[in-house]
Amino acid sequence: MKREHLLILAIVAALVAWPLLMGNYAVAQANRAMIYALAALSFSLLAGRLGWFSLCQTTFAGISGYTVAILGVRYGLPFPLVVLLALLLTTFSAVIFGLLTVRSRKVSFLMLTLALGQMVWALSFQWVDVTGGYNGIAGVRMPVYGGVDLNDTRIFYVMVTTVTVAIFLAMWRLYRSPFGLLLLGIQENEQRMRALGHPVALARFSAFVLAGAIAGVAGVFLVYDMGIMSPSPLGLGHAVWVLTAAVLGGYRSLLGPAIGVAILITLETLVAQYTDRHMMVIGLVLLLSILLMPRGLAEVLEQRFKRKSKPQASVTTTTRGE
Amino acid sequence: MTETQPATSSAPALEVAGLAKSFGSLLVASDVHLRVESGERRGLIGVNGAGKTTLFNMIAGELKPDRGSIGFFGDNITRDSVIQRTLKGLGRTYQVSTLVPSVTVRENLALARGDGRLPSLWQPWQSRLDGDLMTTADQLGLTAVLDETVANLSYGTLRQLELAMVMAQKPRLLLLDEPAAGLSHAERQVLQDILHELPREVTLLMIEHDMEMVLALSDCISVLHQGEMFAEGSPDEIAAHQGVRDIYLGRAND
Ligand SMILES: Nc1ncnc2c1ncn2[C@@H]1O[C@H](COP(=O)(O)OP(=O)(O)OP(=O)(O)O)[C@@H](O)[C@H]1O
Ligand SMILES: [Mg+2]
Repeated sequence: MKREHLLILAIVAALVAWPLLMGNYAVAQANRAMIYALAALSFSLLAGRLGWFSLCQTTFAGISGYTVAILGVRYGLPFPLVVLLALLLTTFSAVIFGLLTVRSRKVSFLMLTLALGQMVWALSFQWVDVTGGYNGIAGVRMPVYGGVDLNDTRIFYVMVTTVTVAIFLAMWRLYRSPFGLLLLGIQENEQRMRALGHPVALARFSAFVLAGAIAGVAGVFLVYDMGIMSPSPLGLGHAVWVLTAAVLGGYRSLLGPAIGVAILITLETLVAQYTDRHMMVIGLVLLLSILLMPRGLAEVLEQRFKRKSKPQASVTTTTRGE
Repeated sequence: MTETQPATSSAPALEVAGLAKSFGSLLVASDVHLRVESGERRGLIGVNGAGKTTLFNMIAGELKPDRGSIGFFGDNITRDSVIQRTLKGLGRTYQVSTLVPSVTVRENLALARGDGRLPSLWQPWQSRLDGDLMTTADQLGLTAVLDETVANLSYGTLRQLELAMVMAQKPRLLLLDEPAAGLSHAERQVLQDILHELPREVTLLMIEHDMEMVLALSDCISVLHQGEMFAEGSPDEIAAHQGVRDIYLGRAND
């Protein structure tokens, strides 16, 4: 069995053990972490593969969350339909945003996603009739099926974990597929990819829409986790938080964004117990870690991993794909 | 040949007519004509800055000419995109090779032979490496470095990789921009043999400063000078051409 398969098994085992060993608070924290790991994965798919830094991935999560809240609470549509429509609408938004951004380069891409994100954020508190303004829409809950309350922290954990693991596994395949390789090729040598006969714009656009859809999934879980949808998850603060987590963990690797989110949430929880100035402490930790590990924690771990294993054909792909 | 078949078999592989390009006030091509027959091996020479690479960029579609037209096996491709030209069978190498530096030679090879469609999101990338591709890589001496990161390759190996990738595409017309530059003597010999053995289905247009190689490989040589084709002829004619000698000795402007 390959090392990476062992790693996957270990992660799955840990995720199964967590709710059995830990209390409700820790399970709830894990739920939140996995939701943000999906958002950070969505960011990293674009940043790591294409060199595109997006500030609107949390916006897609927000669009998804609002759709769930509005259709579920206001219109009382059934849960599966609500989720389906939320994902469809988010993907559709990603198609529109993608058409607007696909020709842009690094800095203009960042600025365009910032502008689009801010526009939707403004809409979310100004379009009061639909979104409920700053108060948002409260009472967003999952249904109870046959006596099983899907809102129960541990039941919710099972759902979030299953979906998150499935998405990460799918991305694991994608990162090592010819498509994933092509995205890296586009980041490093776009002109050459075109000359080799690859549809560069289509590949970029597809990655963008896919990343938007992943953020949409995160948004569905986020709104049910919070029970309320308000403008704050669409704000710049959240976008930057996700970016920070991805950079801290290492957005070039698959597990980096998840590691970054886990560290950031753990730090916030720990530091908040001791001091009110927790943002300062966290800022300091971030500063140090980015100075010491500019490529993120995941790649530091990979280097160790690589040094211990024998050089072989699959090592390079393993390490970058992880 | 059947009667339904069009006369394209007699159409030239490349027909550049009246091509002009300037960068601001710098006139790089004023009126370039170039006809390369199907199956031909053509050398393209000219002093540094004569506009050879610029001509390649226009033929490959990476640079828009100000005027003129480009025919490709009887097909007017002047307005085609880079990818359309590639899919029609045009392949090129670059004077400065870069490829995808952060990944291995193997992964770069897996990126060869794009077909204009989105590649698989699910198969492993290794599935794109078939026997054909690996044979080409082997011919170019890449077998030992397959798992090296491209950023760590020597310049000569990088050139070989670049050539392997474009040859894997099986182009009908291959544009080579100084393929021998930076190669050791032994590597040059290997390259020359490979180019010599290319089947005649591949038409070759080659920019090269190594005169020995150009003279050995070309059926015909064109000389680009001051934005136009200055001379054209067999290797012997060009080697003996007084005007061409003057250009290379810097006396043609006098
Ligand atoms: N994109 C560009 N913008 C402005 N000037 C350019 C550009 N590309 C080329 N030039 C200029 O056009 C002229 C011709 O350049 P080109 O690279 O085509 O020459 P070359 O014949 O390939 O020379 P060499 O033998 O040195 O490769 C040069 O003076 C170069 O500086
Ligand atoms: Mg040149």
